[in-house]
Amino acid sequence: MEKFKKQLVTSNCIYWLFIFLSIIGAVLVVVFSPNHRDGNGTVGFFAAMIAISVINIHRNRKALKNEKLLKEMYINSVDERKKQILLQASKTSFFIILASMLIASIVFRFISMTVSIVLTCCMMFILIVYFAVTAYYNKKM
Amino acid sequence: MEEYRKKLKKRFVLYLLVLIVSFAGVGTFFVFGRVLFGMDVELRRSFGGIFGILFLTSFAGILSSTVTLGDENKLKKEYIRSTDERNLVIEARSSNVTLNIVMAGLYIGFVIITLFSDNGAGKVLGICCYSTWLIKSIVKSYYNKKM
Repeated sequence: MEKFKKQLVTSNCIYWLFIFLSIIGAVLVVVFSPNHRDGNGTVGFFAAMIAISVINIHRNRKALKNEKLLKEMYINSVDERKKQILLQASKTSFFIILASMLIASIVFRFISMTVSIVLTCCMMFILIVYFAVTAYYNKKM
Repeated sequence: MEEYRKKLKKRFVLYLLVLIVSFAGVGTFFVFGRVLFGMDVELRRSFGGIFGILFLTSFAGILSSTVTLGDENKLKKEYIRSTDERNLVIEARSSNVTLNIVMAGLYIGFVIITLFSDNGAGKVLGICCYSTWLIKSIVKSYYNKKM
């Protein structure tokens, strides 16, 4: 249980980091590049991340203060079925994301070269991270 | 074991399909791209690269499936490897951790690129980040209902 409490505190720190990054990003985009093409859309991305982070921080804080809620969250986090669902979902999502990025990258070759190159780079990044993490787990487990 | 053999045969058909599509892609866009669509060299080369990689990957997949299906010992070895609990757990865990790292990385990339450039690359990273999150959530809710 103490380990889970620490996990919640760590995840709160990570969410705070994202809020900090988003606020800095939004301020810099609005203040220093007012002519930024479609700046509102970009600020929308930052706002969405802030909203997601705030909701999660609020949930974690509530759990840290309320013993009953914390226990409920802890049980949910160690529930084998939920763990299995998360792992299975991640595995499937991983292939869906890679396949959709590949298709989008091919389609966008006709429309915008920049978008296509960015998508290809994303795909490379995902594959590199995946192979690195797999190698790490292969050694660790 | 028979189940695995069927799975390999299905995979073989899938690889064959990708091989045909990528071959057609190389032919249409790389070889005849200029004549058919008036594409410039750069675009033709990039298409050639993508479809070429797909072609080589599917070719390697077909080769390995054929070899495995032809050799009973190899088939048994592959079957044991594919049903090994440790490998399955590693694969699932790696996918989960990779998606988390990728989401964070894409978001940080989005913030950095948006601040320094205005060519839409940052926005693509942002969309990729949120799409990853969305796809993961949808698939998770699907499995929540299914399992």
